[in-house]
Amino acid sequence: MKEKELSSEEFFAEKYRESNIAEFFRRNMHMLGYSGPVRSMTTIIHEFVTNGLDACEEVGVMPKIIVEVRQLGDRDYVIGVEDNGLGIPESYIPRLLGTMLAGTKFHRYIQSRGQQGIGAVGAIMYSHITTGVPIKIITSTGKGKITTAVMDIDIKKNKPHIFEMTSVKGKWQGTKIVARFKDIVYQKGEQGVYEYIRRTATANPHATITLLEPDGNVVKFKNSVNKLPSRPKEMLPHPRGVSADDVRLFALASEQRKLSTFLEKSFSRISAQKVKEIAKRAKYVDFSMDPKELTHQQAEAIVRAFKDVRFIAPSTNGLVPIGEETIEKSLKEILKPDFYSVVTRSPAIYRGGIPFQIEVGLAYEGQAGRSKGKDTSSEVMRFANRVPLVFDAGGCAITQAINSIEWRRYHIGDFDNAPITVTVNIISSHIPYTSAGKQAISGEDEIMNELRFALMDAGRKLKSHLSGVRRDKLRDERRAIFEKYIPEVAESLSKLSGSATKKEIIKHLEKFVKSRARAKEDKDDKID
Amino acid sequence: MTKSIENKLTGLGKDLVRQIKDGKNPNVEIPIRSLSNIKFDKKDNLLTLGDQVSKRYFFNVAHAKKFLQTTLVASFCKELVKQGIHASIREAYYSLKRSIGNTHENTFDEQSESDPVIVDLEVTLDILREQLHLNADRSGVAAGNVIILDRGDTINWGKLGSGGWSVPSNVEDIAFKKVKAKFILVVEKNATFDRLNEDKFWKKHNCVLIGTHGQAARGTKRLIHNLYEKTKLPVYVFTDADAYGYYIYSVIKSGSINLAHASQEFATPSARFIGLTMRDIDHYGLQKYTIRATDSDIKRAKEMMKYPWFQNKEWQHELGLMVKKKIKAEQEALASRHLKFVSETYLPEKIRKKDFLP
Repeated sequence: MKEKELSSEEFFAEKYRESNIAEFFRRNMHMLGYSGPVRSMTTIIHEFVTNGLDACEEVGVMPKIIVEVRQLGDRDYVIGVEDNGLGIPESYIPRLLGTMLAGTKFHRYIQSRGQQGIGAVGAIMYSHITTGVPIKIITSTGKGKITTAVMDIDIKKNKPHIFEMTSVKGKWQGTKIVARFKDIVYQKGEQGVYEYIRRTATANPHATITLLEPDGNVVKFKNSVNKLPSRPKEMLPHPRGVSADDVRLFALASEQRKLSTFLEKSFSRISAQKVKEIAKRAKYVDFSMDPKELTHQQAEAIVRAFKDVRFIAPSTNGLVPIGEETIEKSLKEILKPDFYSVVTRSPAIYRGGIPFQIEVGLAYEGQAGRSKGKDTSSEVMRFANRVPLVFDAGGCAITQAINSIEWRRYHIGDFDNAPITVTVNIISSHIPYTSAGKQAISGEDEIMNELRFALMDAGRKLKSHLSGVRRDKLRDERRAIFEKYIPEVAESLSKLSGSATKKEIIKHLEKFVKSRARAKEDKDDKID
Repeated sequence: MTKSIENKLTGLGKDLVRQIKDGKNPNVEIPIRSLSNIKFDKKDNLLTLGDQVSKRYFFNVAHAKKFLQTTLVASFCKELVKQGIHASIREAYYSLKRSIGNTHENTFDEQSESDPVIVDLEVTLDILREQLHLNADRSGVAAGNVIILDRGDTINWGKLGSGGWSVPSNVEDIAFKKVKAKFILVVEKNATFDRLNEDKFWKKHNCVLIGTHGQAARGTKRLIHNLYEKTKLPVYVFTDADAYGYYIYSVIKSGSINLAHASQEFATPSARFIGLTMRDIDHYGLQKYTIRATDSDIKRAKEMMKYPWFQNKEWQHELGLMVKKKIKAEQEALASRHLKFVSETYLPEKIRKKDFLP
C-alpha cells in the first residue's frame, strides 16, 4: 500500500489543514450527534473509534482498538480510546487536536466512515464544553519515545493550549486519547456503547476491538480476517449528494479565495461552464466572494441550483464493499450462526446518478437474534459505510425494506420472534440520510428496490440451506424407519417364500437402503 | 384346494424375494377398494371391483409399516393353511401383535389395523378370507325346515327351539341335505327373528328364517348366497326403514364396497326388499311411531342416492321421501298395532301382494 511508505511527518504535512469552525460546532452540536446523554455517549465512542480505525487503515496496520469507559459520578465519565496506528509526531500534537477542522480526512471526500462532520475533534469540543477539564493524549511513532500531552482548546481563538508535554522512553506505537465528559450515560441496550462496538466489530472484521465497561467487564471482539479492506479511492463530492451544511463546511475548509473556484475545485463534475449555470440559478449569490464568508442561506441557494443543473454522474470507483466472504467470516465469528447467507449486490445508482451498493447478511440460530430471557427475537444491524446506525430505526429505509419482506417464503415463519440477525450495509460516497442526525437512510426508490432484492437474494440462499438441512434430517428419519422394519420383513418373507434365508434378505434390503441414501429420491417413491 | 392357496401365498413371497434380490424396491400390487374403483354390473345386479391398483412399497415411508404388516399376515396365513387350523381375525391380530425389535413400536396397535390388511391380501391373491383359514366374527341365526351336514353332524334347523341355529363364520363346509320351503326371509333384528320364531312364522308360511343381527356377517351372507344357489327360492329382506337398514339389504343383494372383489360369492342379486318402506308407514298407520331422522341419517341417505346400485326409480323415490320427511321407523313399530301384527298381518299381506322394492 502506498501510504505505508510515507513517514509520519510526511503524511501529516501533506494532509493537514487548518480552519476555523469552532463556532459552527457549538451551534450545531445537536445535529452532530450530541443530543441526549445516551446518544452523546455513543457519538463520542463512535468518533474516537472511527478515528482510530482510520489511523490504522490509512497506514496499512491491522487495527487493534481498546475502548475504556470509567464512571466517576452521575453522568460523569472518563473515556479512553487507544489505537495501534502510526502515532502523532510531537510537533503536530497541539495543532492536530487543538484546532477545529484538523482531521486528516476532512478536506477530502471519500466513502468514509465519518460523514458525521468534524470527527474526534467534535468529541473533544464536547468534553471541553461539559467539563472544562483538559484532555490527555499519549502517542508514539514507535521510535522509542512515548509522549504525553495534557491540553485544552480555546474556542474563541481556535487555538490549542498545552498545559504539559512530557516524554518517556518506551517501545510502543499508537495513540491514546483520554477525556472526561459530563451529561453522558453508559447504558446497555441497543443504542448503548456495547452494542455499538459489537456492530462495529461485525462490519469491520479486520479489527480487534476491546471494550472495558464501567462495571469492570472486559469484552474482546477478535478480528476474523487478516486482510485490511482496500481503501476507498478519494473522490470529490458530487453536487447532487451534498446538503447546505456540507457546502458551508467545505467552504470553511477551503483554501480558495473565490466561491466560483471553490466550487470547481471542491466538487466533481463542476466545470467553469457549470458554475455559470449554477450562478444563473442562484442570482443573489456573489460568486466572487470568499468561500469562508458563505452564509447558510447562500449555501442553500447553491444546493437548490445543484438540483436544477445537469451533471455527469459520479464515478463508481469509490465504492468498496465489505465483500461476501468477509461478511461470512464476521458473522461466523461474532454470531456463530447455524446457518447464514450473505449477498453483496452490484453497484446501482439513485437520484439519477449517485452510485451505491447494498450488502446483506442473514445469520440464523446459534447466537443470532436477540435473547430476552427464554425468548428470542430478530435483530437488525444497520450500517452505512460500515458504521453502525443505532438511532432512528423506525424512519430508516433499511427497517422498512426488512418489514416489507415476506419472510415466511424463506422458511422463517415468525420473523419478529425468529433467532435471526439481519445485517445491512449501504455503501456510497453520498449516503442519503433523512436528517442531519445521519442515523436513518431515506427511502429513495432505487435504494428501496436494491435493499429488497438483496434481502430476498439472501432469503433464498438461507431457505435452500434450511430446506437442505430439513431434507437431510428427513432422509435420516426415513432410513431409521426402514432399518427398524427390515428384520421383521425379512423374517416374514423368508417364511412366506421358502426361497431365501432371513440373513440373505436382510443383506439385500440393507444394501438397497445404503444405495438409496446416496442416490436422490427414488422415482418409485412418488407413485401412489 | 388347500395346496393352491398355499401356493398362492408362497408365490407372493417368492415374487417379493425376487424383487429384493434384483435390487428393486419390493412392492405388492393391491386392487383399490374404494368407491372410485367400484363398478356396478347392472345386468347381474352386482358390485364388482374395477382394475385400479395401488402399489405398496417397502421403501416408502408412507407404506413401509403396511408393507411389513402385509408380509406378517401373509406368512401367518401360510402357517394356518399348512397346518390346517383356523383362527379368528381377532386371534390373528393377537398372534401378530408384538413390539418391533427393541423399540416401543408395535407391529399392530389395534385390530382395526390388521383387518384391512387381511382384506388386502384377499383381493391381491383373489382368494377368500375363509380360504386363508381366517374367520370373521360371527353373528346370525337361522330356523326353518332345513337339514344340514356340518363337519359330520346332521342338524335340523327346525328342532333348535327358541334360539335357532347359530350361523358360524365359515360356512364353506356346510352341506344342505334337505330344504323344505317356499321362500327365504332375512330379517335385520334379533328381536324380529325371535318374534317370528315364537309365532312359528316359518312353520305357518313354510319358509327359511334368517336373522342377521344388523349388518350381515360374512358367514351369514355366504349362507344366504349358498342357500339361494342350492334352492333358487325367492329371498325377501326385512329391515328398519332407515338408510342403515336399506344398506343392509343392498349388501345382501349386490355386495359391498369392501367385498366387491367377492360379490360373486357373497351377494344374492335376486333378493327383494319387503319393508319397512316409507309407504308402509302411511299404509299401516305408523306415523305416530316414527323417529326423527338425524343429520347423519339424511347425509347417508343422500350419499346412497348417488350410488350406482340405487339408480332406479323405486329406490330414488324411497330415499327421496326419507330425505324429504326426515323420518325413520323401526321394524318393532309394527308392534304398535299388536304384537303379532308383523307375523299375522304385515308380512303375509306384503308377500301376497308382492309389494316389494327391487
